[in-house]
Amino acid sequence: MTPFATYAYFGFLLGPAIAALWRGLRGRLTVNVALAVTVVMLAVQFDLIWDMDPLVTARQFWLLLTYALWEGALVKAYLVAKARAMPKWVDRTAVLLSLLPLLGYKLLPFLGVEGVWGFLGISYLTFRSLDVIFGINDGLIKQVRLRDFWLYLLFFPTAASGPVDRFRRFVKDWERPRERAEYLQDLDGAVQRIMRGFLYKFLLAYLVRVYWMEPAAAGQGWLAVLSYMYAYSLYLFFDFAGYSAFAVGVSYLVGVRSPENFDSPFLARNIRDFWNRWHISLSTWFRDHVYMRFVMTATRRKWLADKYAISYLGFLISMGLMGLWHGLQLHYIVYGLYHALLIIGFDWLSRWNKSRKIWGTGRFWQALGVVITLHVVCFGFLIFSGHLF
Amino acid sequence: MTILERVTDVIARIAGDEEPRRNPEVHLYETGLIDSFGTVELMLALEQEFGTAFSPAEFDPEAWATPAKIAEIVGERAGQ
Repeated sequence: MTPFATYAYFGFLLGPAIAALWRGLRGRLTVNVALAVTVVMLAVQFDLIWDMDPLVTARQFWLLLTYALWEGALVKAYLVAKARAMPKWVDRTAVLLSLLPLLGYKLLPFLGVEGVWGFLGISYLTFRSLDVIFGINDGLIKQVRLRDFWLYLLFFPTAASGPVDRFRRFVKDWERPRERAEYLQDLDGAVQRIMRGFLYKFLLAYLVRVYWMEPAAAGQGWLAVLSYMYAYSLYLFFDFAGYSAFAVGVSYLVGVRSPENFDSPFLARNIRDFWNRWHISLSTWFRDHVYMRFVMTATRRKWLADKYAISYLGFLISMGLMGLWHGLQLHYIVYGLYHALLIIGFDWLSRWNKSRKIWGTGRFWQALGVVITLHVVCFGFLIFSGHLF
Repeated sequence: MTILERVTDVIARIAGDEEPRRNPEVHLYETGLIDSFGTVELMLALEQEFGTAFSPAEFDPEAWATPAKIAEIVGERAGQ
């Protein structure tokens, strides 16, 4: 069953949560407890314990296990290869092999292959695997214990829809002391976030969907579309931020401080600020592993003379891939490009304004920035929703 | 020149602003002196200046927040 979506899920979570709580309060929360809880909850999430969701099958669970073994073997093999001097193509092959399961899942239907070749969370797990591969490539990760890797990869609160943690941060989390006092603090964080999750996802998102979004979706004319745009944006925020609050809260319960995914995104002052506040773990992943990586390579090899051209190409690639990652449908691709153009446009305007000083930094300008950003972002969500095309 | 002076020189050049030189505790990202593109430029410039390579995968806005913090990272790395 989908994590954090039904009361039944929380029913199943209760037992493992109490077990973790019991260990935590006695200062005996270890990595093995998190591992055991993860195994039990994955069995719940993939309906091995109780068949709740006809869309989830045992086949998905076996695909997940095969995927985890594949990525584990790849990480180990790549580490061995990296210990010797290896040509560049080895690095590229490692990235490609790590991406292969996701590419297969997305592309096989187009090749006429029948059946489901993916599982819940495959795209989020791919981000995690790639984080380790890039870390090894850059010499930041020199050894990996398979237990740590698999726990990081499959950690149940964040396995299906993020937040996307980073391997080095995650492993460091287990190195900090987990005494009772420390755990009590984490528990406080857990309770706050889980309550916020219920408020956002089960109450606010539900109310917005039933009383505003669905009626607006059935309406005719451009006013109905406008109404749907705001309703969908609010719904998406409460649903996803609520989900993330659950995921981070439950992580805290088992002693992992998963990164936050949202920070009042509708109060962003400009489009770059927005991406520092919305789906933060995803946007920082793209910033570090796609945008900055591309800019660094392009600058080093002098692919283009103009540094702004390199930066803008970097935005197009990273936001384009971000859109594509959501799905191969046209509205996702347009969504990615729309945001790339917004970021490029904003960057260009800010530089243009630097010498002319048309707008300043006072309160009025900040408020205006928030209002403009809000509307531009909501229009982006309208594209994303697939309601237009 | 100390490592901090050399680092603030590089940062001031990339930011196109004297502030990092005046105040090594200035928050580079919150003030908008450096963005993600500037960070890559900074990593490449630090590599030239100190001969030690940095990777975007290790970028952490908290750890790289101020010239003083960056100088600390560079000091650790160069001392290795």
